[in-house]
Amino acid sequence: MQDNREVLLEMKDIVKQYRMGDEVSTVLKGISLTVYRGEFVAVLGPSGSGKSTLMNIIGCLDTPTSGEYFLHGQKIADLSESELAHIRSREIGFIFQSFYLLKDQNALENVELPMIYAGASRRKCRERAKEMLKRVGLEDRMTHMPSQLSGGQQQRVAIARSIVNTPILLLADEPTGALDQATGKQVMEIFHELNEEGRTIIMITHDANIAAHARRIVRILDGNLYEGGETADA
Amino acid sequence: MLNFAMLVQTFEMSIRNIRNNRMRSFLTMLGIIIGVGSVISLISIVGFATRSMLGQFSSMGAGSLQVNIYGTPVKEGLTDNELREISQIDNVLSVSPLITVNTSVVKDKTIYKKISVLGRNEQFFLRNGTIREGRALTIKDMSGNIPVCVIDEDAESVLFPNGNALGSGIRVGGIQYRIVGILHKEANYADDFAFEENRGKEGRVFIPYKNGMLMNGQNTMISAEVYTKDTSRINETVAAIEDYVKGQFNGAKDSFYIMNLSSILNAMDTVTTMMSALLGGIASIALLVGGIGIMNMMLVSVTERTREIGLRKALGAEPIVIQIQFLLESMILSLVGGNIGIVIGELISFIASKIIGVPFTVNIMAILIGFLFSVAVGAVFGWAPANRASKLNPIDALRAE
Repeated sequence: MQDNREVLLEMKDIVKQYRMGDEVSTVLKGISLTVYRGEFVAVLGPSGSGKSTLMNIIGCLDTPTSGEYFLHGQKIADLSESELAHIRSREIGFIFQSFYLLKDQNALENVELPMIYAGASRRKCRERAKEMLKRVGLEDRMTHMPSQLSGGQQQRVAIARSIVNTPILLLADEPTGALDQATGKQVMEIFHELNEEGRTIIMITHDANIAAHARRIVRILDGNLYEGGETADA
Repeated sequence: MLNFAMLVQTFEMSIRNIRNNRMRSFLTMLGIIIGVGSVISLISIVGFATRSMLGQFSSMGAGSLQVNIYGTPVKEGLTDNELREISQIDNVLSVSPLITVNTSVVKDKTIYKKISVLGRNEQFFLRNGTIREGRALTIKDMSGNIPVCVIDEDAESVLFPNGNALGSGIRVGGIQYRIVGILHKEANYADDFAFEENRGKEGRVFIPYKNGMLMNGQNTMISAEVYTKDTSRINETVAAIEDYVKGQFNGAKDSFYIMNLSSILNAMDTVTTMMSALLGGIASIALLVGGIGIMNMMLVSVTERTREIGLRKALGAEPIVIQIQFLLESMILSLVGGNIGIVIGELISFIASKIIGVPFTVNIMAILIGFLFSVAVGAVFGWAPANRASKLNPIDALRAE
């Protein structure tokens, strides 16, 4: 089937092994995955299935033992440490389960961080950060410290941080795992909005209900990927 | 990606981190504060102590000796004749007795206890200072019953604040003396300090030495200044004088002692240098300990902030950026600590200067050294922890407790 959509991410036969003493454990056993621009993909799997490892590789935080990974046409394996860092700041937005905000900096300063590492000017950092916080509905909480924000608000700050550099890909690892049902729903709302704007989202989760929010579901079990669930046309 | 904006941001982040963790930052700085503070204060104290000691000897110029008599049961001091014989020893230029008179100056019914009254001969004025107004004491004044005196500028400003000292009268030892000259001493650091004879600090009045001896009730002299012609031959001159005086005291070697300023100065120089080196060594150890303290705390800091480092890397911080951030933090910490140390060090040396009794001066060199050292310590001892932080694996770091 000819696909006119742009390929954002392509993984071919990705294998990841860890050596623990004498033993070698294979966490990913040859994963192949293609994600198109504008998709909202959920990677559904139980704990221990290798989904976190997969996300780390997608996010250029880890390198596979073998296999090829192309992000936006770039062969990741060829890149140096600083080029990888560059990609992480510019092209990928991370959203973690435990939010991972810097505790000693306020919301605005947290959101600015990827822009700082991308080398933007001070003024630009401020402006964009404010914009993004407004976008997630936190304009009156900009100078609050994380300790002064609720779980849902912290996650929203994290989301603002993840999109501040207009990355091509958003990676979310159990984004609602630390939130209650109602707040979780709010967060997924924002995800929907972001996706509607054309952002590509890959979401890792073990919760089928959360996965159902996505337009495409891939299952991961024991280091293997299974395509499952509807693929909506972009 | 490293550019100026990023450096500025990193700098601000470092400052923010330091401020957000006051306790930890303070503990980190403590070692440097103590190290630099002790360097500054110790170097200053040595300097002050040296100068205080030197002040006592500086009443003598180079090339002059001081003969001091303890005496024996049969002979208390030297006579006029003996002084004359000393002045005829090879290489001796002249001799001046040193008499400290136990009396006070009185003027207009006011007693000036802090002005010293000193007995001298005419030779003294040829070798010490210049006469600004009037004249010095001459050989004609030395008969013993001529009540003329020379005062120095300090005494002049105390006794005659409105001027007109020359020709005026003051009472010394109950006798009316006429001032015939004002002595101006060339400025040298010795003027600031207490002379051995001049603890009073309010000035000196010079009268003919015989007058002074009469007032004291002494008929021999126990102290005299000997001026030499050729200072390179001073050691043999000292030996010659020693032989002569020993002879006069029947061979009793410990009945007198001779002070030779240049050899004293040399000895003191050596001692001072050694002491400074020793202190420098000790202080360096203190700084070393301070540096190790910084390294320790930075390592703890890196461990505590492992997750934060992992996050920053995940958000795009290159290893070099992490390294610079932590390096900046340790350098800022040691710089601030160094400054505090400098202030404390100067405070201590100020107190010390008052205790020792010398004017307080600031040793710019020591401050500069302290400053540079603290920057260097921050850089050197912060490097390893910063390096470790930059090499952390983001995923492992994120997973850390």
